[in-house]
Amino acid sequence: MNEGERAFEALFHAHYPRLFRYMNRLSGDPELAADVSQEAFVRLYRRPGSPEDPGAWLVTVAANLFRNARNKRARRLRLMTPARGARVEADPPPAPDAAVLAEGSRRAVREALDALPERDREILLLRAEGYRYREIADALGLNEASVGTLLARAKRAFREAHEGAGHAH
Amino acid sequence: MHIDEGGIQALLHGELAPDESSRLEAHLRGCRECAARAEEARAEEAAVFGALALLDVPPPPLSADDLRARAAGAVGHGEPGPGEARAPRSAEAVDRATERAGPGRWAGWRVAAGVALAFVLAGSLYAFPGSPVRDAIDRLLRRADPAPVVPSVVTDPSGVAVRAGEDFTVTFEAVGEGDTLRVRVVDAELVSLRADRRATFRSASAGLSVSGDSGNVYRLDVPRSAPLVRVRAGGRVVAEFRSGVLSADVSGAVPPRGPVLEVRP
Repeated sequence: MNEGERAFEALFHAHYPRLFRYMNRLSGDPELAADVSQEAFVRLYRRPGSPEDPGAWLVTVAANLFRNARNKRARRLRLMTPARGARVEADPPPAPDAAVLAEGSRRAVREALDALPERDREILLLRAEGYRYREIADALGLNEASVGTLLARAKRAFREAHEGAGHAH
Repeated sequence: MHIDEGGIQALLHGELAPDESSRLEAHLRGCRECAARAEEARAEEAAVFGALALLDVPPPPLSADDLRARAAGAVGHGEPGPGEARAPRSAEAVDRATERAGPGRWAGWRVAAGVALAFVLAGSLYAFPGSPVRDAIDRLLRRADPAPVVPSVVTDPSGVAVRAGEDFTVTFEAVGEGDTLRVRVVDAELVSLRADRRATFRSASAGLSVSGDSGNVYRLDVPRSAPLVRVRAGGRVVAEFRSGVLSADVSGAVPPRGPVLEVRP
């Protein structure tokens, strides 16, 4: 492996895992998360020159790709099934095993997260990945000085949504 | 006057300037109400982030062939069409917003060509030419280009990732009471080190040394596959991992007035 390949591999290893984890938590769709995360790296390659902060740049691009994909999917659903509203999931058959209980916990977290306004969701998930306030502000178009307050509110809103569903911490 | 919730969050995350941080910490020592709120914020964050981890799954496998094909344009996303919504914040806007002047930051990235950042580490050279990813992909696609020799010092708020080899030492220089070292054992190939604030990373013989702004939070990921990784701070070994297992003979090694050490093996 030559120097350039090592360099790219180092960049990929430093940023891809957290980018995928963020996109998976944001989207709830691992395949879509992998797709937009990988595409973000390809966009970085096509970009003339390197961004000052690759982490913030990558998460902005991946999140934009996700929004486009989500909007496209929503339009397709409307065209194909005009009578259907929100996504409906059938409850699994009751079975007292660990896998079902774990799935129930995951679903509760997913629902609490989905209940948040989009900005609150993004702030919360970015901070959970360790992005700094400056990176969060850049990625979301916020004033850096407001990130702390917005984060406190997002955490509170998540906790209330999660506890409200009967899953106290 | 009490600390507002934004201030508590910023203090929790090490986002304050050192003098402001010291001022708020002094206030916490004398104000029970704010100290209780800070502790509540800490506990709340641990609970919320712990819950979010339930959503995690391993990423689908990614091969070099997949990435090469995608970079070469064989598979990929088209640009958003005229009818598709655009997100309110474009990557170009991020570029404008993140322009930063000043020493010690990513000044090297702005040079069109010939500037590179590298880590010389036990025979492994990491090079970041002027358009590093493009050059890297070109080499990946077998369009050869010579790589420039690059300096071995990088100041980068994002972090570094390097191969550990057989025996690897990470040395935290000049870390003290206000710093935190968070160490995790992970299933990854590279030693990864990040800092929440500005830090300088230097290659060393079979290792890496790092120093940074005070009140920093350093996040070190140790690969489970690495035969031996040592963590030194304050002139002493404070943790040692052999194939991902924390050595039992390292105990009480955090130096007095040293950093907070959190290890999650």
